[in-house]
Amino acid sequence: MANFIGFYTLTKREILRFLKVWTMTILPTWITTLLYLIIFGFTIGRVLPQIGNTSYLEFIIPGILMMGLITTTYANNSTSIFMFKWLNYIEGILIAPLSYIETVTAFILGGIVRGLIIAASVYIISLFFYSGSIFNPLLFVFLILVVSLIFSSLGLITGLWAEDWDQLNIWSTFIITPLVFLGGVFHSITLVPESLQIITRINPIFYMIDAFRYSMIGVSESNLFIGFFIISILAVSLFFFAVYLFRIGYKIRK
Amino acid sequence: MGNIAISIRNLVKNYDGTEAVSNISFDIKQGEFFGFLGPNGAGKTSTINAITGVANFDLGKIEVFGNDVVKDYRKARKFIGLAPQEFNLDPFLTIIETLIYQGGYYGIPKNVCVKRAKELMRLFGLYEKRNSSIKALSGGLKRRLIIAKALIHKPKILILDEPTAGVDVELRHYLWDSLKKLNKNGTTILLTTHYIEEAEKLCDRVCILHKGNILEIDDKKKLMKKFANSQITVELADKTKKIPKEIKRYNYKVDGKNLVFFEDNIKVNEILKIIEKNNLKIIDINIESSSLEDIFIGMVKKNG
Repeated sequence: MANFIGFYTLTKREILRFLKVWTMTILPTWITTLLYLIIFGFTIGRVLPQIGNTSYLEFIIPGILMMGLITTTYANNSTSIFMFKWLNYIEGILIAPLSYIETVTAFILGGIVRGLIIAASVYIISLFFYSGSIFNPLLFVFLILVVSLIFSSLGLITGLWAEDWDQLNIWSTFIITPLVFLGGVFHSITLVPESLQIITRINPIFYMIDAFRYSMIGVSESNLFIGFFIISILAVSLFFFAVYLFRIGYKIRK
Repeated sequence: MGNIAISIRNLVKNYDGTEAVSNISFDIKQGEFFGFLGPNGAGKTSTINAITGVANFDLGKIEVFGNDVVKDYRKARKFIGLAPQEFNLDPFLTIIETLIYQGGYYGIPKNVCVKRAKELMRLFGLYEKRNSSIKALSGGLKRRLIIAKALIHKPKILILDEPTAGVDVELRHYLWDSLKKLNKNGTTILLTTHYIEEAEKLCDRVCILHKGNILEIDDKKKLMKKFANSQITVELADKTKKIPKEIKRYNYKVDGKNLVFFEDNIKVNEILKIIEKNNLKIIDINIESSSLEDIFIGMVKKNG
């Protein structure tokens, strides 16, 4: 029988955690977003040519929003589960009658809620810089949820794997951040030399940013079906891999 | 199986190739106060971790009220409350939140948790500090909170790993009284401790573990009877030149003015009658029995 109260309590605890330290979990993303929009969009962007029929500022807004979403949801879950392990209060969860799916879903929901708060607030900030029109609202919300799910799951997996703070930072510094920047937050794939475009096309974050850009301003540079396929596969496989790691007690059960 | 709270069969647990628990089997009956004794590295905490789900184990089977802790882990875990040796408190929560959230993880509705948390905080002297952050608590308060947390879902089995380690004498006695009351009200208790006095005072049955093996497991009184060595020292007024022949059938030695008897089950009145009959004057009598601690130390020494 499902433990709904247990699942709800863990989800609530995860949300409470990042809200209690909002100056470290929410505020920095607002400041970073504002800085990116001012510097790259408002100042440098004014002298840059349009990309297709879109102004440079309008082009980068979906990318900046997606970047905030990815880094925030990833950091949320990798840090949370790492702290659970580091200070050993994971034992409170391990001994409780919670199923592994309930546990993982609660952690991921915590990440998704933080992602939603970030997405909504960054969108509001971006209203100072563009009209705020959304080309496909359904796809827009869907992508926010699925991308949050992907990076919450990935954060959970790497947080379980990491044995110290250095290891925890390896993924964000050497993998996530480069992939985000190379995924087309600030540039069009058409500006990348043809021989190097393959690197962008094997980067799954490129498809997330591109699909998100399509949902906001109706501009896309990739095949959306391929993107949808990659995003779906990643979401399902990372979620169930996280459940599997909890089931075997990977680096959490002694 | 109705009255077996915990059943362990052929449990093996390895850490990096070293066997921490070597094929042990035993049962803990419902309502028992069961003591787990052993030096550091004996396998006490490893066994507890295997029962509660804090650790995986390599071989064997553990059941809690007939529920397999691996296959039916959710049912099994509902019965158990764990107060671990190391503090494992969530730093983002206050005292009252710690209790309410832990109750929530066990599926208990919030209003019930709040009521129960208030009772426990009063019982363990935490109520005044209920809104304090975990980070602000002393070691003694954290220890109380760990035990209160283990009791939030009214478990049928309470597992305590070194519950009085590092607490002052007053709190230790308070905890002992609380545990006795809980046990009297039907809670099965599994206790590991370094303080043999604690086990002697509280436990009905004791298991002595050493290097992952069970050295002895028995009713505490039977164990003490089985392994205890009584020693009766009779101090005489003068050094005896001639030992009465009736005394020679006992295991004894002469130590100056003292006659020291080593056998168990010696009837003191028999000895006294013999001494009086032989006109020897007694100054003092001292009877010493081995404590559980003596038995424990003896066993561990004997087994390397």
